[in-house]
Amino acid sequence: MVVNSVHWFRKGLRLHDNPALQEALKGADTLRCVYVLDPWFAGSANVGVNRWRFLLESLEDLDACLRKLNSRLFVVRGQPADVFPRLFKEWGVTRLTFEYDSEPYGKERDAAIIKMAQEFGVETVVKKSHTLYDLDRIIEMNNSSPPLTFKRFQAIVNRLGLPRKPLPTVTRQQMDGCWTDVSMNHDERFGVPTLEELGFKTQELSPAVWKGGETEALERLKKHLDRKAWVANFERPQINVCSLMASPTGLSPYLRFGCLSCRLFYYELRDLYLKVRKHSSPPLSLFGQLLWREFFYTAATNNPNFDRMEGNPICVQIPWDHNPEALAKWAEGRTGFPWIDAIMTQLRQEGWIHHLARHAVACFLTRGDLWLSWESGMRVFEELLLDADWSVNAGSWMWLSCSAFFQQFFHCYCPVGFGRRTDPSGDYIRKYIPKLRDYPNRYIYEPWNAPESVQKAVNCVVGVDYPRPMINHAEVSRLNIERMKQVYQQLSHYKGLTLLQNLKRSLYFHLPGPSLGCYKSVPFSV
Amino acid sequence: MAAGTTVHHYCMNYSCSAPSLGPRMKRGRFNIQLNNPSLSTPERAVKRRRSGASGFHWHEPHLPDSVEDWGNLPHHVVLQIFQYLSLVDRARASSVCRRWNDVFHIPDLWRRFEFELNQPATSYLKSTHPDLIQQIIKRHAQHLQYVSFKVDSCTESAEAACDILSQLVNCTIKTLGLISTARPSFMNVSQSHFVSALTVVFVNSKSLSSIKIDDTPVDDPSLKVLVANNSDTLKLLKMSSCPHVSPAGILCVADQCHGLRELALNYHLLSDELLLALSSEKHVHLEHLRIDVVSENPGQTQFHTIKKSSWDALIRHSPKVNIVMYFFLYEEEFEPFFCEETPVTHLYFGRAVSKEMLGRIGLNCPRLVELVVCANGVEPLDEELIRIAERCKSLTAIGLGECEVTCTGFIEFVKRCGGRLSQLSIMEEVLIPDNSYNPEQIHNEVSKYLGRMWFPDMMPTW
Repeated sequence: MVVNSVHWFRKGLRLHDNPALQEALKGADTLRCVYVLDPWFAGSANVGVNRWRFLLESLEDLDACLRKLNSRLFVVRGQPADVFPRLFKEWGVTRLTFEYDSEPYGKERDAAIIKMAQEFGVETVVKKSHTLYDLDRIIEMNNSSPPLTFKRFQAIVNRLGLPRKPLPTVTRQQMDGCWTDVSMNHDERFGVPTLEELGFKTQELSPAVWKGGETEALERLKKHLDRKAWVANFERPQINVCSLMASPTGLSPYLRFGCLSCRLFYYELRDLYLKVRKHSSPPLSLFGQLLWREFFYTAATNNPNFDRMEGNPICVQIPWDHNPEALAKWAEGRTGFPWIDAIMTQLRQEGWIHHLARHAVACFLTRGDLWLSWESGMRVFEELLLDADWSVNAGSWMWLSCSAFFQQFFHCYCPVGFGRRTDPSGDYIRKYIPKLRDYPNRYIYEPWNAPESVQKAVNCVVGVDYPRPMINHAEVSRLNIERMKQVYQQLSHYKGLTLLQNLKRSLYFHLPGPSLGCYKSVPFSV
Repeated sequence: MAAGTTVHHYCMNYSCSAPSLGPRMKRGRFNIQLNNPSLSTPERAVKRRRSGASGFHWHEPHLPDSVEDWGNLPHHVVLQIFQYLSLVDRARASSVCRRWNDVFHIPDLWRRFEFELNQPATSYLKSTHPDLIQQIIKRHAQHLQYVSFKVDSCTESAEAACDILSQLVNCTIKTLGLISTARPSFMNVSQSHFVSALTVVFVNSKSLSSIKIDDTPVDDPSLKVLVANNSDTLKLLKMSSCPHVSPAGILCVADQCHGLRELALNYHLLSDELLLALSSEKHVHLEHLRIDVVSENPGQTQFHTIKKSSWDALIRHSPKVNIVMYFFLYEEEFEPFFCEETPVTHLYFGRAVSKEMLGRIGLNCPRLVELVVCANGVEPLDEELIRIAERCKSLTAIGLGECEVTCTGFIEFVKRCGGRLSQLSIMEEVLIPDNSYNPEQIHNEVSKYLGRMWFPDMMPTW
């Protein structure tokens, strides 16, 4: 029986810790590694140029690594449902392998492919390696529903013990056992496209700050661990201006695309900790970044409406405003608040911002200032942010807008004060908004307060060279706190759980409900 | 998004997750959602897609006459049943027969109503159907007693609310709420239009008990009208951020409305005279006083001080009163506050607050029950918190946002408060590790002193 394997890369763009790929190799006569590229998405506004560039670089890297193993990557244009029947026939495929995708859309797509493969007599093997643990197991251990608080999630993960160890990378010997049929015109038919081919204009594109690919990911991992060991400090570092800049050891985009295995990262961190701290066992907080990612994947896996407010059982229904003009100002970094604008500029230019910067802009867009829907913010991040995948992006936006998981809405980030406390030097602003470069530190976070003489002297007049602040923060934060209170007051099961709600319920104000007659006294505190 | 909402724009705004009644009127348990921003269920979406056809086949020719004639049910039975139905279903049921139609229009079912006025360009929410609004004004205006208007950020919605108000001439409204769910759109309505609409209700109701008119252009003359017609019945008045009202205007209310138990206003309306008026012999005990202190322009507003004797008089008269203060000021503007003993019970600082201010609070706010600080500077607040724990013996809730406290200082604070702290909301980043404790150990210590499991609040670090 000839075994012709196809391994389908989606995320998991790596050769190390790739159990599905290992399965493809087992006893195979031929192997082809495939990536299905839907070129239609290139035109869609929702995937920006940095995301595409990162992906294409990752695919190039995969191709280069496979070449060293006497194979190649096959990039096939089209949709999986159309592409696979054709390939099954053309290549006589008998086995299809891929990494498990926990997201609801992914599960649906994969179920259809598996069914179709069966009809073609193709064996499918699916392996889980994008998350540390089996998400269904976590849900099972929490009475069949995903944990909705991070502490609860950590408690369950604690009980699960260590995740499965990462597998080693695919070796030359393994690949020698099977053959890849690479035709003369492989590059033409199956080569990795360029940005230009996808319709992007690249003349004015600045060089990528985050280079895609497994090779880069593993180098960064090494540097990341070296730095930790040198510092011998596994605590969460205090944020300063350096943390705001793109880090050469940052790993989040690589985890998202699967260029780096989360399990490899986990075990490398753990081993380093044990080596340095000798006798203590690593605390869960060491893996904070990985566990947050896992938390959101778990919360989202069974909820197809996870990325919207309406019809989403875990999302509080908040009467957000609808204002496309205001949204555009935020998305394009024209709010008039240098802290917010610098962050959105870095995001657009480079594709990554620090998590505290994310908190600042998310709060500003939603419950803090503009009172716009978190869904719009999520879509902008989806377009621009390298490490934003469906589950983590939607989950974070719900968290930060107090729509789910988190209800202490009094935690508000001031678009002036928070920036100033984080980076008193103002260097971050100067880097991303060069127009404000000459402003003195005293006014750089609130240039509208600088006297006209100062504004003229630095050649940047507010209202002419730089926008006026689009809202009055004191006024809108007052309004928004009231709005959030209104929303939460009508949620009876949040009674007394949030601050600003503890006041004795007024007996004298009965908000009428629509079910006339079925009268329910809604609490209303002054 | 906009495309999606146009479909919903004119749908009935009441949705109920219970499916509509069929001819058998079989009903199990209801799961009524009172059209409020609560957690939605998938059934709501299903509900909206139902067609308008009523599909009732109420004549059951094979059933004997008198025993199961649905059309002859006594009014009060139909009324009971109707109270479980959403407005949409009730409206459909009302077209079945005359009896049911009569019941639909029974005054009791029209005592409470919430008008929702939204435009598709500015809101994702539905609006009350204009036909329904017309029907209410024509047939049920005189039955309305508890009414609220929820408007989105569009001026048109606020104007529509005013138009409805102007038509509520023959009514005896007890409760009135004007609520902006996003931007304060009532402020964009012309003042004369707003005031004349509001005074229609003030004049005609004569038994207004609770009024919520925050963020509106209400003025002194309208308050005079309110007082002239409702001084015996007024119990609650919420009017934060009403810039056209003066201290004299609100004083008039306090002087005449001796039943006033709850009042919300801005600091510039607060005066010694007002506090004394609320403490006069004829006045009932005050239960809630909420004061918003808002900065107009940094450093340009001078805040007046209230005499300690006025506060004392208030407390003597109403020993259990909750005094709630919301501060939205810049750090330099806190000078005039809490220099003397002030009987505030709930404090919220919406921007930053200075270390000095927190120090004064520890000294001068013995009645403090809840303290929420959004942000502070970069110096640890250990001393100030410990003093607050020692002097504010009634403190049961505290929340700290962007502040800094050393782990040791924080544990000292919690130790002194003990189990009386029912609410302790601290962001993880607030706690600075020191020689004695690190963030891992701190939650154990704190849980010990609180007598329950406690963790700091977290934000995703992805």
